[in-house]
Amino acid sequence: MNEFIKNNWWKLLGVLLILYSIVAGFLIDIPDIMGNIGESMRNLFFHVVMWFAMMVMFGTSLVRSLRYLSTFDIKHDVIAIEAVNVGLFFGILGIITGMEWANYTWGTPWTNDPQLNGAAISLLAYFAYVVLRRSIDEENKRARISAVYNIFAFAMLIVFIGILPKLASGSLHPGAGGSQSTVNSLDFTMRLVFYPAIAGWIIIGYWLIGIRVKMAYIRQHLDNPE
Amino acid sequence: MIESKMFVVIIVLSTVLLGLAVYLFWLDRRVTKMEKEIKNNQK
Amino acid sequence: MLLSEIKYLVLKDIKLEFKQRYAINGILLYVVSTIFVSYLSFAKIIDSATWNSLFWIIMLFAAVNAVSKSFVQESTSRQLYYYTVTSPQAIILSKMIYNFMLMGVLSLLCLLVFTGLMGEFVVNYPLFISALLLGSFGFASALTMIAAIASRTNNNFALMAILSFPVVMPLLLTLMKVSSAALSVGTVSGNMKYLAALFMLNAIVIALSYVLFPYLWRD
Repeated sequence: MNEFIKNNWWKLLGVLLILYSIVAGFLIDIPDIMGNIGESMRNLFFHVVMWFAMMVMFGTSLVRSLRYLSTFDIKHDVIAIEAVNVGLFFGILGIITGMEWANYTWGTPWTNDPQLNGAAISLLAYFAYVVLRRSIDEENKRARISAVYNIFAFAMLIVFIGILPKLASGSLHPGAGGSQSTVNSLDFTMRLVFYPAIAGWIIIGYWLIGIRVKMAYIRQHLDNPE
Repeated sequence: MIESKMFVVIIVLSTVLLGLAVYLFWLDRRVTKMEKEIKNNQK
Repeated sequence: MLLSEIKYLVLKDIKLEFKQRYAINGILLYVVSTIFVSYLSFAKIIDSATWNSLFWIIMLFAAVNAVSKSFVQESTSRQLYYYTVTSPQAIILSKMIYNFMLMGVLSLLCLLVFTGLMGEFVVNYPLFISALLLGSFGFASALTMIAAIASRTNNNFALMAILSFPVVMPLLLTLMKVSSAALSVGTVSGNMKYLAALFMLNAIVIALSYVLFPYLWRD
């Protein structure tokens, strides 16, 4: 039992943090800003959190890609691709929950808002990364080339999520085109729930990456019986 | 009950957890298949 | 040393092109036929927004077409020769410059034929031309790098399209913003932030490509 706790305590921590965010997320008081949103603002803890977790996953993948390019150790490449897979998982959940929230608040699941389109296209970039990997068979070549593309994909992510929304104006999405960004103007009590939630989901993300990496190694073992 | 804006939060949260559950079950199935393959190879 | 290598490679590509005319003819044919088809189907119902989008869609596909050929032409033995003789940075920069010139010619041509067949919608020429130039530069740099990546795999054109779409998107969106302003009453100064964004986008892509291409070239 102690062995188990020693190795897996962080996974438990992640689950606890998320549990806390769910309970607290429903119990705390929501300040009344931004007109229409009201109680559904609580989605901040469950929808926006997905995007932050995704960014961390993709960031991890970027770091691993860079490390692969500097060391050519294939272990980094394995983590890079699995991090992208988990990032895509969070991103897809983010988009689906975003559509649900949008449909409820604005009457339509999609608006032509730069942040939404940008997020979708960023996900496409990473899907393209996956496709690229499938089209190269040789292990090291695949790692090298996909690492290069990973860097471009991340650059696009930054451009789409950080830069373009500032340029465009007039959108319903909070924080676009100069209107006050929600994250910066967040009420203190909300921050108390928000940040732990992100931390919790990041931990779950790393847990998922770990599982996928182990699966990848087993798959490798199975395919190459020594 | 459905009046409250809280409803959409419940939907979103359920989606997230359901998505996670589906993903975990899918991974679990893949791992089980791999275990079976290992057992077959050992025979 | 780097500059002379680049100059040599660019001149080599241009000379090759004039001898074979392989790429130019293909692109010419493509551009003229797509514009002609658009003319036949759209001539009556055109308005400035449609003109704008059509123009850039055709530009996009012509660009992908044109640039994807840049890494396919030389045989593997010839590529090995280049690898030993020149530095990879020179190669990627020279290809980008060559593609930029190609794109420049292509875009002006597109503009001419488009205006001729579909009507003159451009109000502010300097703005539009600057959009064309920055756009050509952007397409050339981004697509050259993607072509380099795709050339290392087996299924070239489809992969090229998939890979280039996300990378080209921000470029395309900003270009359309600027050119739609050029089609109405926009001024150069009013759109400065978009032009600046385009410039920055180009800079990022080029810097990244410059650094990363050597890794691709190892083969």
